[in-house]
Amino acid sequence: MSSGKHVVLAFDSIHDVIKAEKIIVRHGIWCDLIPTPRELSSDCGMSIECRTDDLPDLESLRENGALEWRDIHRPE
Amino acid sequence: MVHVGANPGRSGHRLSAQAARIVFDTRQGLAELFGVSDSRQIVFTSNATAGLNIALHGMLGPRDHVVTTSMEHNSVMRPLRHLARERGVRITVVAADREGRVDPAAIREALEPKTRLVAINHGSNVVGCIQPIAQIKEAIGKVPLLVDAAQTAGSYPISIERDGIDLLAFSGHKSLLGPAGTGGLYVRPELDLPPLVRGGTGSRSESDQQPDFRPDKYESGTLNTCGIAGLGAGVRFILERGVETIHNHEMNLLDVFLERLRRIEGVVLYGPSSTEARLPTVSLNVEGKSPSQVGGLLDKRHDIMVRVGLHCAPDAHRTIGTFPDGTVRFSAGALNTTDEMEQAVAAVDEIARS
Ligand SMILES: Cc1ncc(COP(=O)(O)O)c(C=O)c1O
Repeated sequence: MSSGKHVVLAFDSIHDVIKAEKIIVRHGIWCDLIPTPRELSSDCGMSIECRTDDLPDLESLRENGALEWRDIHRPE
Repeated sequence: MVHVGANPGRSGHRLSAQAARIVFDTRQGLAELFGVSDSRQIVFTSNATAGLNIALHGMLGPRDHVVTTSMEHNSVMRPLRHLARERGVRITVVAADREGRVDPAAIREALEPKTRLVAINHGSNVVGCIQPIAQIKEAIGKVPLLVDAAQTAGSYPISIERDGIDLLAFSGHKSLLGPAGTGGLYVRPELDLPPLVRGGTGSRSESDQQPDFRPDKYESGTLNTCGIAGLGAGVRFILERGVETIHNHEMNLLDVFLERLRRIEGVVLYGPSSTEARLPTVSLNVEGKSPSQVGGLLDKRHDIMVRVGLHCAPDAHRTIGTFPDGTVRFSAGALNTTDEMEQAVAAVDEIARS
């Protein structure tokens, strides 16, 4: 998550992380579980890294209620 | 599992993630089995007793009133008696009939303006009768209902959201076929229930306040991940076979068992006489012999292990008229066979003749 190519999704609990991971993978979108970066305070130990290119797809999953996240971090 | 010795959610590495996936899958399986749409409302505990304690301590404040039944296990009655001493909680115990059944109308009549909870043992661990949970909830309206499903989870259909159940505690090591040291509690999302234990959750680590989101709110400290993995395997087995199929199988075993036992002279059977709304749990006595004598002979001579005595439920034995000696209790499960039931009958027959 060192470049603008990736975004990081943050969640309240590890339960929410695993749930989101399953949904993202099921939709054929690449993602990776990473230790929560320092910039994102107030979170559980893990976050989900996704490609910035996939953000529109992720946003539409979120809009239709299939996917939830608490916070999104977009590195400059 | 051998390779997943990490703590779910405490760190960002692969093994921790794998452990978290196992916990997640087990939680999802339980939600599916119990008819719960969001599995976050199910929290893991070390057994049913721990879940019941969260519910009872969290729901009952100073001088609140609670309604329960004469069929409860000590894991409900002892916390309630403690709360009566400590918080002035008032307890009404509704008596069941001789077969162990509780009338929903009698529960409704016991309600008072300050009734904060109705606590019901779904399936009796002494005589196997099932209480009509949906009718009881209908009868009590908005008063929260706590169901002790220690005996029914995995062997009798449970539909939490459809039946309006507010709280439900279950054991992992009985009919859910999981290992000892597993269990859980369902908490209806609208209930503002404080946790009993607070501590580290792996989430909101910068805060010294307990998180208020689920499941973390009720799951402080390291979970029994190995046990939960085993419980997950049990739940998968049940979902694949179907809880109705398991229940029907158990009722077939019970039919064989009861029908043959009735023919043996000197055997006294307790509880419901039919297989209607019940579990394959049978309490009996052999005339002229104490429960412990019968239990000892079954074990030593016949390799059949049963539990004798009061089964942690003295009031249930008062209800069926077997206090203080208790009974010999047999119970069948998903993996038992008709053959084994016949062997058990033959053993009881031999003991009754001796
Ligand atoms: C009706 C009932 N409630 C509660 C319990 C306690 O269950 P656990 O051992 O999981 O705490 C039992 C188990 O014996 C039971 O039969």
